[in-house]
Amino acid sequence: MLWSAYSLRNLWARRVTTLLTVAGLGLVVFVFVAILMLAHGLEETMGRTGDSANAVLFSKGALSEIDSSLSRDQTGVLAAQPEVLTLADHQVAAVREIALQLTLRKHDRGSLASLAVRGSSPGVFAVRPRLRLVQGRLWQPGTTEVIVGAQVARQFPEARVNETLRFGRREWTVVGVFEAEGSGFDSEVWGDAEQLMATFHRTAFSSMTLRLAEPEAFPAFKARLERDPRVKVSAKREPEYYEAKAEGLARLIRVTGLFLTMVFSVGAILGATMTMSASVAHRTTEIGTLRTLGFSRGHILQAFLLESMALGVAGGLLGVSGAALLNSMTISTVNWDTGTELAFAFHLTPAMAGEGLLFAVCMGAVGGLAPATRAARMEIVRALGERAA
Amino acid sequence: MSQPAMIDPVVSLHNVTKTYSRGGTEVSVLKDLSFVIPAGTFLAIMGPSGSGKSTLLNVMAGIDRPTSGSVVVAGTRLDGLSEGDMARWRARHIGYVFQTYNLIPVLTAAENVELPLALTHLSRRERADHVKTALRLVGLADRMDHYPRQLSGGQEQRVGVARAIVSDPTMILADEPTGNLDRESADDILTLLARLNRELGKTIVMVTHDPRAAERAQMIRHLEKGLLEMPP
Repeated sequence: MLWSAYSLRNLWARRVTTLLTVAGLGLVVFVFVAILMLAHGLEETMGRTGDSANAVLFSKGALSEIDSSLSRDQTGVLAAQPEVLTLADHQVAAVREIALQLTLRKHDRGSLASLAVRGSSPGVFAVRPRLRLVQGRLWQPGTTEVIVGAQVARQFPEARVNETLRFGRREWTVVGVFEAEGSGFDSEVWGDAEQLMATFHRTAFSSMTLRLAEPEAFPAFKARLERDPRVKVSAKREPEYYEAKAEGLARLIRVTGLFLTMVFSVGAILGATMTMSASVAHRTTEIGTLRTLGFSRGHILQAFLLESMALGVAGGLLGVSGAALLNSMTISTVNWDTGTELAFAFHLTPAMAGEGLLFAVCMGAVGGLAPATRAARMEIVRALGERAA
Repeated sequence: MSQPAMIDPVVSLHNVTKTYSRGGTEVSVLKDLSFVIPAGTFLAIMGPSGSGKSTLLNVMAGIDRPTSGSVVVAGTRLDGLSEGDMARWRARHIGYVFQTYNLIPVLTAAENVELPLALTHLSRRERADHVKTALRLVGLADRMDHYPRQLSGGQEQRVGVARAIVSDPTMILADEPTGNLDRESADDILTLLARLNRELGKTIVMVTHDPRAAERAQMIRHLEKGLLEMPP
């Protein structure tokens, strides 16, 4: 208790350098945690996209919807699979979809952004029941009406209800806004698949999404379909498919971010080393006194390491608190895996806060190790300045 | 000293030498010293600056090692002890009073006095009791929560003495304890040391260059150029 008080009060006694060091450590932890939050937010957004009861099917060999092609015959066979849920109106819970891209000007910066456009059918809300229409109405089949995700409505001025979007040499009227629980669908524009196919001269669908009556039947369903020579499709659970679409960007954020954090951390560690070295230099007599009183080299090492680790804890708390302010903040960027705009939120988890704190404590310990060792190795007489009196 | 064969010597030095290397030159600070200090003695070691008196004190305190010779203090031969054992030995047997008080500025008077007890197995309450007793003994019971900067030089040194006696060590070593004090404060400290010797039977070795301070000790020995003046 007394020993801890001794270490902590010494930090307070030199509060200006302490605060500067803590600020440096805090900044690195802030960047570190913010990167984790960003990558996690992206993965979470994409992981939340879709429903685990749904299976996405695309042509064999295709990596995504964009390069997949399913004929009307194929989709007919797929919709008739016995595992597919039958709705109250005796319709099967299955939608054939086409994936396209459109370029729009953003509201805030006026920059151009590429948006994902999904041609679907009104039955899509039965296949994805967690989605909600929050404004306006659904598009009428056979018309050039579209609905937009909440993030699209927020970011693009011409993507509001009753506004008109121009793409494929046609005008598309926005008739509704839907919310998709912060998932990737929130960054999409949805319309009638047949109209979009006609506009873009497509004869095939991109993918098909089926809702299974029994989600646990998916592995057997997948195995059977992928062996069926008539359909030539690959199947994935819907969340896994969308999560995989953000893997590249999440990895890029992590690798780049963590590399930058490591570079910054060298600076913060050196800051801690300088602070602790100055502290040792100012307290040589004190070190000699403590050793004279009977404190061992280990005690001295412990006291100075405790101080530098306390710097780390304070820096960690500062950085994590700063990062917590970003929590739920939404940013929008291009998903490199799809080339389309994607909005996602920073998300702080207790594990990230813990990792941030641990990282800070490690930086403090590494920074303090050399000065603490030097303090512990000091000769008592030399430290007391009484040599050969 | 005048009767080296008397029982219970607390300090026993035999052929102790100490040399330092300065700029490639060997400087001999202690030259073949041999003497004993009986328990309960209040000894003053006098000598001019550079005579080796502080080095001698440090060797007895186990914070410096002799170049050759043997040092036995409180029944322990110091020259064979490891660093860790030496630290434990100091905590148990030595109370040290510094010329410049050497109080820890971030700790209160009571906490400074408590420091040596942090190395014992005493409970919190027992430690608090010891600290109160020590501070009462030096007349500073009312300054327990003061930081060193809030105390006068004399009061700081009294806290230093309380710190030296709080763990009830075998011997108190004082290095110029009055060197930084005015006459009145110096007298107070010397009176206190004499009382500790007389009433509690503490063995005290004090290094000083002040003859008035030395007069308060039971015995005075002079160290000159590394050689101890022996009694006639």
